[in-house]
Amino acid sequence: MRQWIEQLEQHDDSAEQADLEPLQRLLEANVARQIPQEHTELLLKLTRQSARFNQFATELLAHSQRDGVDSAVLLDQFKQHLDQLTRDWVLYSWQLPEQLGILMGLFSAQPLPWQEGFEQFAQLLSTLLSNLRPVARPDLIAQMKESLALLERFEQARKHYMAQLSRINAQALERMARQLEGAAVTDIDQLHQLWIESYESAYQQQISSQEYCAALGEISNAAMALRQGWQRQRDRFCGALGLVTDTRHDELAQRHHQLRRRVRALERELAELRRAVHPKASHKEPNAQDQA
Amino acid sequence: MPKIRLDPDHARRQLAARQKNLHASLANLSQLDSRHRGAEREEIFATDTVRLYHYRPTRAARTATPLLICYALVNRPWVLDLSPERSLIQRLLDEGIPVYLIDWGYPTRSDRFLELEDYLEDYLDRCVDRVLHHSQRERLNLAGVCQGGVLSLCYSALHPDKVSNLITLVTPVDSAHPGFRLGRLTAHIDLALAASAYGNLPGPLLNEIYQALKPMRLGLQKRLQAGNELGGEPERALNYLLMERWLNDCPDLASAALQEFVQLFMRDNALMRPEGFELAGKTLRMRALQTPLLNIFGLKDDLVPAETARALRQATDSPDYTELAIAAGHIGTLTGRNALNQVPSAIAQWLRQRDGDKNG
Repeated sequence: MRQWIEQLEQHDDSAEQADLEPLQRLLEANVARQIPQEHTELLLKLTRQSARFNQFATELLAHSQRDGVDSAVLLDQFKQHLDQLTRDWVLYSWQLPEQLGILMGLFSAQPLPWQEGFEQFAQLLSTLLSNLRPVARPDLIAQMKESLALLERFEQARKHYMAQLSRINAQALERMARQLEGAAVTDIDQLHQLWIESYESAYQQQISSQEYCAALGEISNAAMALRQGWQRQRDRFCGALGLVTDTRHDELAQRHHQLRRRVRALERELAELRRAVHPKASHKEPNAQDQA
Repeated sequence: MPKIRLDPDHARRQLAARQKNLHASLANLSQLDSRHRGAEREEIFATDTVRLYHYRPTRAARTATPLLICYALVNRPWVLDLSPERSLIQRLLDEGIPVYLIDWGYPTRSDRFLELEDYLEDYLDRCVDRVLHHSQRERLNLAGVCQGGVLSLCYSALHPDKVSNLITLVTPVDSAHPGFRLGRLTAHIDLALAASAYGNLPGPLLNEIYQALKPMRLGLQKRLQAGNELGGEPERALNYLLMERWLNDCPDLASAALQEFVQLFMRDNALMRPEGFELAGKTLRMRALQTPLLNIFGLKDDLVPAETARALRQATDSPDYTELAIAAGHIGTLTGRNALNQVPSAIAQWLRQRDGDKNG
């Protein structure tokens, strides 16, 4: 969601240059004075947002001074903007496993809209699977089928979740339209506040629904299943090369955990025995290990 | 559709004010040193990623029994000592309370098998023993923050002999309350799958879930108003920067403990069950808890709504139950100016009234 909001602030336009000047100055000072990176990043966000807001407000003001701003036009602009933000947010929040993302990039001759790119990649995998089926080892075919099924599940979940977000966007715009009909807006901050409230109220209503929570759960689970499936593939490759796999590492960590628990239990027994020998001691006395 | 007609002069003034704030923010961001500097403290115990700190009161101790603060496993405890002006710990020290604080640290992938039992019966119990030894007392006062409040309730049920008084701050108790949106939003997420896919649950992922409770207010609106904070007095700007840093300082969560926690306390609503629940090899019943309780919560808390926290009264049969409602949000109840004028003094007064001979 944060990325979504950040995307809202990002806008390349020469009109922003004046607002970006402070950032440029800070970046120069950063180099000279070692200003923390996080200060620079924060200012970058603030400047972008400020630039975006100023541009929006200036255009609105110009229209307003001519013949007033038609709220239908304003709402249409909001809608386009929101739809873009929704796509960006979903792409950012539920990403493909890193290696899979890179692989998809390799197969696209040119950057495609995410939906088309994804479908093209799934189609390629499907064709590859059909071609290899007669000649490849059955276990390899089974792995590819599994990967394809996980990809398809993820894509399906993403579509369902996008539909939920689109519903929120539509409801937010309807609410704002109703508000604009009922109130004479003469103030930029008031207009912005109206937008925030319209969106939040639509959002809160939708996230209360069972279907939204189910869609959110499914996109999260599908993304994790995809990641897990990809890890299994990686484990197989690492295992074949004689490298330590994540699974093996986790098994060792589990054994270490069990041993740590055993040591702790023994320390407790030792403390009990000490208390039995020296009855005056109480739980105020920490265990031997803790005294070190 | 209606036409929107802005007041041009007013609009220009608004834009100019924003621009002015941005320039002032630039000046503050260029000059301020926003490194965190907490109150003076001493590390008295360390094991694995866990650290235990002791803070000395700034005036003669008016409460003999030490106060151990058990923070949540989520986020970091330094929000309780954000800056000299915004420090719950500093205010407690100024009230003459000896304070100890548990820092759970940053779990690594190797810690993914830690269970709630490990946190309660190993880490927390050893910290308690260490505090008792360090302070030469038989019992202590325990304060749990948010998820740490749930851990503290469980610990008090497991070891009533070690806890004199229990304070819960912004602690979720009744997860079935309709206002508890976090539970509903995450109800369908498969935590076993998360453990398998990630090892530990990544902290930033959890942060995203919190932000998703109010995306516009916590994102866009907050940043649009940031200029007011960052462009203001240096102290105000510094506190904003520290808070931003704290918000982004989110450790991963040990997956086994997280799964147990979510299942028990969010999905099964275990604290509200009269028959109790199984944890650490025992049946814990909140109804059996006789420890005096001070329950502090925020009336504007979106994460742990007041009614979710307030349910502690129904969950326990403590004959000595007090609650303090603060007109603030989740973090505001811990660090807000108004909260800091009320919470530490209320805690101190409540503890002093109960700091009798039994604490020996």
